[in-house]
Amino acid sequence: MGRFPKMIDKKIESLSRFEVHKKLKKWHFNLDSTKQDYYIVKHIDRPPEFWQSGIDELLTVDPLKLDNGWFAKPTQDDTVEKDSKYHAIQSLHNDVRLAGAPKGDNWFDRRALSQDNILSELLDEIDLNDIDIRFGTQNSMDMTYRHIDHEHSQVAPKTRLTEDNPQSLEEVFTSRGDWVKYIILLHDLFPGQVMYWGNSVIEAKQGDVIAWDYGVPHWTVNFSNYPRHVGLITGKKRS
Amino acid sequence: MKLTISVGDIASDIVAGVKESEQYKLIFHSDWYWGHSVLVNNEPVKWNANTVFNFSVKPQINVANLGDRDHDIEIEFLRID
Repeated sequence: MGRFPKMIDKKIESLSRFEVHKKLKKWHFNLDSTKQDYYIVKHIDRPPEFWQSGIDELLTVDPLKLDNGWFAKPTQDDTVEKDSKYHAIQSLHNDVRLAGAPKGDNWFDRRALSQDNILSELLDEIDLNDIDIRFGTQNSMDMTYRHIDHEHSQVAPKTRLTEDNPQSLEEVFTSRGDWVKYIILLHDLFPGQVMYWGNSVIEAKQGDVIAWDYGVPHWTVNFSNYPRHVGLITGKKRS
Repeated sequence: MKLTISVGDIASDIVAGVKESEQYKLIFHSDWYWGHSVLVNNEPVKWNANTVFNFSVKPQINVANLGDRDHDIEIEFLRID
């Protein structure tokens, strides 16, 4: 039914995602490492009007506000989806709770891509299957707390966990299978808009597509007076 | 002044109210950890305990701790008269 096996369900209830990854050490977790912990997959070359038009269209869509309260308590109505989603990201919820972060802190506003948005052209540029695309707007003084993505479960756990069929808790935390996540910058970052990936701070420009290895902790903050817009793409690598 | 920035704390231009002078020091008393964000004049900085930054013009300092309860950011900002 697209849920973790019972054994994993039980164990994951109290786990810190960050601490499990740190223990398994698939990423270096070395504070002294100078390795760049992200990479730029490609650059999508479009005129500034393309990006601005897409952003303007995006902002007409009602956003889902992702705050610490949302992470601490998922709100899906459907029971099966609620259960599967909750179990898929329970360890992330645990980290937010363990941090004691204020529930009202907003990570970002998330929006879906409307069919007539010019940004749908981006899908032709992405060399992945089963693409899910969303957009994140981080407003002034909003922040994403340190977290680690589980790309293989976060977008549509009902189907993807079944497909990837993790057999053990360790498998869930050591591999994301063929799933990857990309971030596309819809504009150059303004001073004060920072994206930390592991030991690195992202240096990129409008149209850059950013990726990273599984297990890299990341966090972002917007100290500027301007919203920061990115595309969030999850998909499966083509063989 | 000494500041402890705990997880969930975020603030911009934290020394804006400090009196003008010809020299300032920013001293870190804790190590950098994953989740820590400090920008000095909009440039992200990293540090270890006892790292010192000197300034002849009062800097703009933005701070956020997005990590965990076990890792506060401990800083001290001094105006040298």
